Amino acid sequence: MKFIDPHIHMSARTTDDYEALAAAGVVAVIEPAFWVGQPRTTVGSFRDYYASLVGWERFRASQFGIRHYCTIGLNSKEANDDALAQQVMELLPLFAAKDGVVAIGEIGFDDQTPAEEKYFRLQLELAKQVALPVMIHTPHRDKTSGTLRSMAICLEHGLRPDQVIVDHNNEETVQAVLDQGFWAAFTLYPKTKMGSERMVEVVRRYGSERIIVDSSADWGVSDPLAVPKTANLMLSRGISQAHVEATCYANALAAYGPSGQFNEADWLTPEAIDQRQLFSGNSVLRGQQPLIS
Amino acid sequence: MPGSTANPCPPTWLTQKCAAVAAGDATALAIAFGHAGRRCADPAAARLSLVLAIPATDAMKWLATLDQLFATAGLEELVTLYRGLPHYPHPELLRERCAAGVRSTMQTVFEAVALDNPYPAQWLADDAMNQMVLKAFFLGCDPARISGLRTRANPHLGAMLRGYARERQAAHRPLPTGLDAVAAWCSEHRQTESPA
Repeated sequence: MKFIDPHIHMSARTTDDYEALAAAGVVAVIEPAFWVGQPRTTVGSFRDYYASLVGWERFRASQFGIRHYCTIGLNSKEANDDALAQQVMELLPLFAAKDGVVAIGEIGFDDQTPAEEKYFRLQLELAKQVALPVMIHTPHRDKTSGTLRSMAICLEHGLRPDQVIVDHNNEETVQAVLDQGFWAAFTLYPKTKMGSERMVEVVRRYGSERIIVDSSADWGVSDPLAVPKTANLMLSRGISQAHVEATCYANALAAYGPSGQFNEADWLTPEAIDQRQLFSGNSVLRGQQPLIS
Repeated sequence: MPGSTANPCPPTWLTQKCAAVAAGDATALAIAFGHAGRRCADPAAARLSLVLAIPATDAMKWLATLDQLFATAGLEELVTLYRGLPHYPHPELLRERCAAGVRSTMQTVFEAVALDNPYPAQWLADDAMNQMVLKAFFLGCDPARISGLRTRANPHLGAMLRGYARERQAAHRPLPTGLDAVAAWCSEHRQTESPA
């Protein structure tokens, strides 16, 4: 079975993770622009980060046979630095128009401040302007109200629910998100929030329509293999293969495909993987044997 | 939303965007440069047209615009921008840019600079040119694809190549194809430059 992880911060991960993802059947990943664990202090840091998402990280993933896509956005935490956020907003159109950018995201709320709302709304307008879907980061605290508020604001700006992926759902938020017609993504964390066991029960109860599984693996405690592991757990617990394929592959394709930048043909008919494309003195390979398919 | 298949580039789209760029519209340049990937069957050619439309009368302003394109470019865009080096106005201002491309860890980007590209041989200083040639051997590139290589052979490059050959031999690894021939050019050069 092949998988898509539509929310994983590969910049924070190692080449071991890329190898493990490829071995587990992950064919494509989406890396949402987020913060980097601490606040950036200059606009140049944002520019270089976004450039790495569309450049270096795409190249790095390709060395392991994985197609790398990204979303572009100003995250809610850093939206609270108003002076810097204004400069970042000027940068975003440059990157939103790039090949392989499949959405504006991850955007939304963290502390649910007025500044967060301001930049959330501005970026919803940008998404309409560049005709991209939106990936919503729902807050960790006061989650249910933040989720409802995020959806209401999207509708207010004229976005259709099928153009918006609401991420980091849990048992408390999923019903409202599905009822309103939005995509409901679940981040599977090894210890907190949603775990694979709970995900099995969510799919058992709600089925697979508009439900998406992702790892959101980053620099914190997280599991880059959460998608294939959860898929296997679902199968072993008697969830149908059709539900597993929908939640761990096909729904992500349907949700981000309308960007025009996320096409199954990219990985079904790939260029040959050629790790000889590496500079052996300063590369991700460092003396290992090139893997040539 | 845009379709997933690239149509032949609508001439009016590219003409309009180039006109906007020529009028100094930075946002039009930024977005059209990205969107060429979905609007045009040959995005590289379209992107080159856009770059060539950037006003170049004020050389420093022109360079700042080009630098911003490089700094925000995606993987495929970087390849296009570096392949374009020999076509840009003010080539004398692009030596550092070219050297930065030589330093890239993305081999596709390095090859865009080093292979089938006349800019380096024409404009790079010896030190940067020598690094490029040595790195090309490291990466297993075909030296026959380095434009103007023979004209830039020099004693220092010869010494670097012979040192690399000794490292390979000490590690019982094969010598890159063509290394001996290029090292020989460097020796010839020494004879012609410093006649006894």
